[in-house]
Formats: sequence, structure tokens, C-alpha cells
Amino acid sequence: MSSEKCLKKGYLGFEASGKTAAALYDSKGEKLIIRVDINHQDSLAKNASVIYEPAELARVIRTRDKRRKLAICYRGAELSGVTPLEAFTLCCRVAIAAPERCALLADEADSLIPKSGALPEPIDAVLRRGLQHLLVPVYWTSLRPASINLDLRNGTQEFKYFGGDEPTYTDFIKRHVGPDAVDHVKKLGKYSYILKKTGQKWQEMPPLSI
Amino acid sequence: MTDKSEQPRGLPEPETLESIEAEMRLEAASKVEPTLDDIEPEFEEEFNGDLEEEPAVEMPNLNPEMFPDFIGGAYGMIADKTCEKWQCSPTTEPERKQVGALVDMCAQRYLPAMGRKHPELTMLFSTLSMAWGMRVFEMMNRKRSEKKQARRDAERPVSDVVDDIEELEEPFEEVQP
Repeated sequence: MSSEKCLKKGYLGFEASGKTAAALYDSKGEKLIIRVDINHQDSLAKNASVIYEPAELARVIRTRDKRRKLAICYRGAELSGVTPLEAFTLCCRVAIAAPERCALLADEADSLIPKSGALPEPIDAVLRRGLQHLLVPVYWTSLRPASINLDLRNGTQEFKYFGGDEPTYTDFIKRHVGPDAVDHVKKLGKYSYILKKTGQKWQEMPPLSI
Repeated sequence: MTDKSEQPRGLPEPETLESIEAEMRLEAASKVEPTLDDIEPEFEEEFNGDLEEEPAVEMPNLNPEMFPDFIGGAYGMIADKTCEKWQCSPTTEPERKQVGALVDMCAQRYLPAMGRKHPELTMLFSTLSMAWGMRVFEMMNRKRSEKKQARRDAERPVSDVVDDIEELEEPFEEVQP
């Protein structure tokens, strides 16, 4: 569950492997969270206020009842002319501006943030300075680890690798987790994963009970 | 530590939620949303086929009472706007169905704007079939031909119209002093 630490956590794996479910599960403890949803994932809207208007996003957080938890599912990228990057940038701005800790859940993060190149300042702030200064924890998922923004990937302290046997995925695990992790990942069932924390050896975890 | 009140030194003054909200409202106000007039040519282009060859489509009878009040209210509002636009006041069941189908079509075109105001409608309308558009086109065609006829009448030479009137009217009776 989320702690007072401001961590970034990545959830990688193939479709229907349980990565989004795990990100939602882990972020349940956040008192305030914006789930950035560009793919209309029903699970992201569950127990959340679905918001489409950028101004509404800021207003809802500003006027919320601070005694209660609030999960927002933001689908602003559906507006004509708004790119996923712009939608995510706004979420970062709002999360930074929120007077209290405000977490972000970036589903399919590779679709939201380009792999390289200059990033809008709010995203840069969340990715680079988050741990030291800004209380913006990030939970992100992706099924294309090789396309993940390097700042996000390097700044992530905890990875959960779910099942998958696609060569690019297993190659990534081989390089970033260890050759001995590949066989384990190939055999993982739904909701099963291996956990890799910065500076620690990976460990196989029991399936999530979701 | 969950309070952000202590900002680190050397960083620029942070934005506030109020300023973001105000900026977004301004931005939204400056965007032009599509109107029915904008989407009319799309209808024409999309359904410019042979109506006769298409099989008849059974349209469901959408009853706003089936949905929560706010959806029903929004649905009714669009129906009113649609009737206003096409200058029709459906009284019979087939007419109501036609308007219902037109509303559905409009709603599908309006999804981005609709979704922002009523997210629930997005899900509702996205389940509706585009095939109903054929009926809509029939109705629009009828309305359009009525308009064209009216325009043709308006453009006819005055002499023709006078001839028509003379044919219709009986000659004046001579009034005896």
C-alpha cells in the first residue's frame, strides 16, 4: 500500500496480465489520486469521479472534501485537439498545485509521455524532482517497456513485472532485472509478478488477491 | 509529511489550482464547438446513397424514463433542440421515432462535447447503431425538399405567380351601382 514516501512505481506486463489492477490496488491508500485514462479502461473509472473538462479537474480538487479520499479518472484527452501528452501535462500541473499530496496513475505511460526529447516543465518536475520536493507519487503501467520515457524509468524505485513471453519484453527483463528472471516471468499467471526494487534483487511474489 | 506548504527554495512560485482552473476555463471558452449547421453537410455526404436499397431498420423506442433523471433531462433537451432546428413537432409515434433517431445521430456527432458535460451519455449513445441514420436521412430529405420547394416558389417570376393566382381566383363580380 502507499506509504508516506513519494515513490514511483512501474507495472509492466502484457495485456490482461494484471498490471493495471495491481496499480489500482497499490494506489488504494492514496487520499487523492488522478488516474489518467486515455483508453477508456472501465477499471480506472471504478470508484472514481470521471472528469473530461480540464477546468473541472482543477475545480474538483480545489473544492473537494479534504476529510475524504478522492479518486479521479481524467479522460481529458478525448477532447478534440487535446493530445495525451497535453492531458498528462495538465494532470501534473494540477497534482503539483494541489495543496496536499496528490498521486498520479499513468495508465499506458508510453502513450502519455514520449520516450525522449524535451518534456513540458510540469512533467519534468514530477519525473525528475518528485522524490525530493514534490509530493507527487506516480503509479504507471505499460506493456511496452522499451518505449518508456527514460526519466520515468530511471526515477522509478519499484517495478512489478507481470507475465509475458514476447521477445522484446523478455529481452528488457533480461537486461534490467537479470537473465535468471526471464524464465520466471514467462511462467507467471494472471496477477502473479516479480518485484524488483532499486538496489535489491528481484523476488517472485504470490499472486495478488484482487 | 503530506503538506506541501513548505516549498523548497530556489524553485519558481508554484501555480495554484485557482489559476489553472481560470486558465482552462478561458481556453475552453475560446474553442468553437460544432453546431448542427456544421455537421449537416457530413450527414449529406455520409448518407448520399440509395435509400431504397437499404433494408428497413427497426429503431428502438428510447424512453428517457428508462434512464436516470439527469440523462432523461439531457436527452429531452437535445430532442427539443433538434425539433427546433428542423422545425418539427412530432405527434405520432413514427415521427417521434424519427426524431429520436435524429437525436441519436446528433448525439453521436456531439460526443466529445456531450461527454464533457454528461459523461454518462457517452456510454449511452455509443451503444446506439449508426444504421438509424437512414431513417434520419429520410426525414432530413423531406425537410430539405420542402425547403427547396419553398425557395423555388420564392424565386419564380412574379408573372408566373400572378398567372397562378388568376387561375385560382374567380373573376370579380361587377358591382352594380
